[in-house]
Amino acid sequence: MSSVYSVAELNRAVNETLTRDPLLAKVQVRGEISGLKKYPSGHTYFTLKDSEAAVDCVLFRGAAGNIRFDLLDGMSVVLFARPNLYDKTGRFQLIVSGAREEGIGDLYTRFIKLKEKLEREGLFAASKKKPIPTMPKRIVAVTSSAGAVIRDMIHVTRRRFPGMSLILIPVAVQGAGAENEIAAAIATANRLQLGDVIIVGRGGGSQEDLQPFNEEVTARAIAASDIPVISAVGHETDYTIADFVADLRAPTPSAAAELVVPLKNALYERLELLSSSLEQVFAQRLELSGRHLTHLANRPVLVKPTAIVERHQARLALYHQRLVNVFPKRMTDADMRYSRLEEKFRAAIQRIESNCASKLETLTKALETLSPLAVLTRGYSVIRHPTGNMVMSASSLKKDDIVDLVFADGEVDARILCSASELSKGT
Amino acid sequence: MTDCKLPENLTYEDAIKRLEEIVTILERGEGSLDRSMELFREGIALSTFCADKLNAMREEMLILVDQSGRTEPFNDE
Repeated sequence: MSSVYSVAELNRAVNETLTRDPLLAKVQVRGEISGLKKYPSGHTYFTLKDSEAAVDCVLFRGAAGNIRFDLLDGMSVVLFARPNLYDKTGRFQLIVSGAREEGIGDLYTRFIKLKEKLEREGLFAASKKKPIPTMPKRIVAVTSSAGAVIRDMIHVTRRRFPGMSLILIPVAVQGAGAENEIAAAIATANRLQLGDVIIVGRGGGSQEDLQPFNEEVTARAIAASDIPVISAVGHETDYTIADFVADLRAPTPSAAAELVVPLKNALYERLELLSSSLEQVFAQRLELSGRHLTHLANRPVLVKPTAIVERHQARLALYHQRLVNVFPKRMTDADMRYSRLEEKFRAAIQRIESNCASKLETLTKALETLSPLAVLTRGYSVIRHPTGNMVMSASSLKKDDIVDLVFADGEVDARILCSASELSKGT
Repeated sequence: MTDCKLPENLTYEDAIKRLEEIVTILERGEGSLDRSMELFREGIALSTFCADKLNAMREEMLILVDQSGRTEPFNDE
């Protein structure tokens, strides 16, 4: 009977067995890398798998220096590793101490490098993509003359557009040098102007089979083509360099044919629709013009040209009538206003005149009372010096002075007999 | 109705596009009657051109035999 282990004891025991086994202590394992994760700690974790199984792998920081290339997802490698059961979790894993690239893995690195290089050069730029003609005159197929691919393309073409032409430039689509044939075919199609769209492709295959479509020479030939190129390589999921450079990517050659060969019936229908629309809208346009013309012709001015004069006459009569109605009324108003004003004015003038007359009389009387003549008529007289000045005081006269005595009816000369001072002495 | 002169090297796509344009212009009822008449003529010419293009296509399934451009019928049977 075996003893009872704790989990930790079991894991340690299995691990020791693994370590002790000379066949398992150090192994080389071939597989493809996936789920690769590099941690800041410097350790790298990934899964190594093939078509049947998978195993977890860890590359510790200390061993990373042993590997001179970057581990990448999809890369095929042979790992140098030590199998290990992780004590804590019981997880089986490979502790990787080294690796070398294998076949496809090599290609994958090249693929990534070429893709980056061409992308940097701008070969994949959307601005470089040429439009695919919607009604090609002739389709150029660059593919193998053997196999189902070209036959499928012909089938699709005939089904969609009976009458569509297709020219095949037969090339090898796998194996050494296939890329040169493909590139040359694309160049030939351009040089001889064989058609107005090129479908370059092959059916699905292994990564190695698709390799000619991942070669730089193929990519450059596609990029240099003046005729739009549709790439149709492999299947739904795998992208090739050719797919990135091409003006359009189709998953398969027959899908490319579906894309590029229009449905003839649809074209007929569209043309039919447009032609009938054209006739319809033009007929409408004509009808509209006709209606407009009829409408114009029915306008009174054209039906009865005298209408113009009549309208003017009517308007004139109306104005005349208004003038007649309005003018006398206006005159009366003005007249009345005027005569009222005139009356007021006259009254005012009369008032002023009578006022003035009475004032004048008063003034005249006042003047009369003030006149010296009036005083003289009452028996007074004025004494004047011969110089003309009036004698206002007795003391201004001396004895024997000659003076004028002015009376109302004339003047007489007189001599002073005795001055005022002599008179006052005498008394 | 006199024939309308279509540009040389006219492609099917351009012809269809122009035809669509003409229908749209006429639909809007813009422009003089004379202009509409011109457009209609052009439209008819384009429509005829397109139909001719479609009808005139004769299938050729060829295979390029050498780099000089020599071809042979491609026997796909």
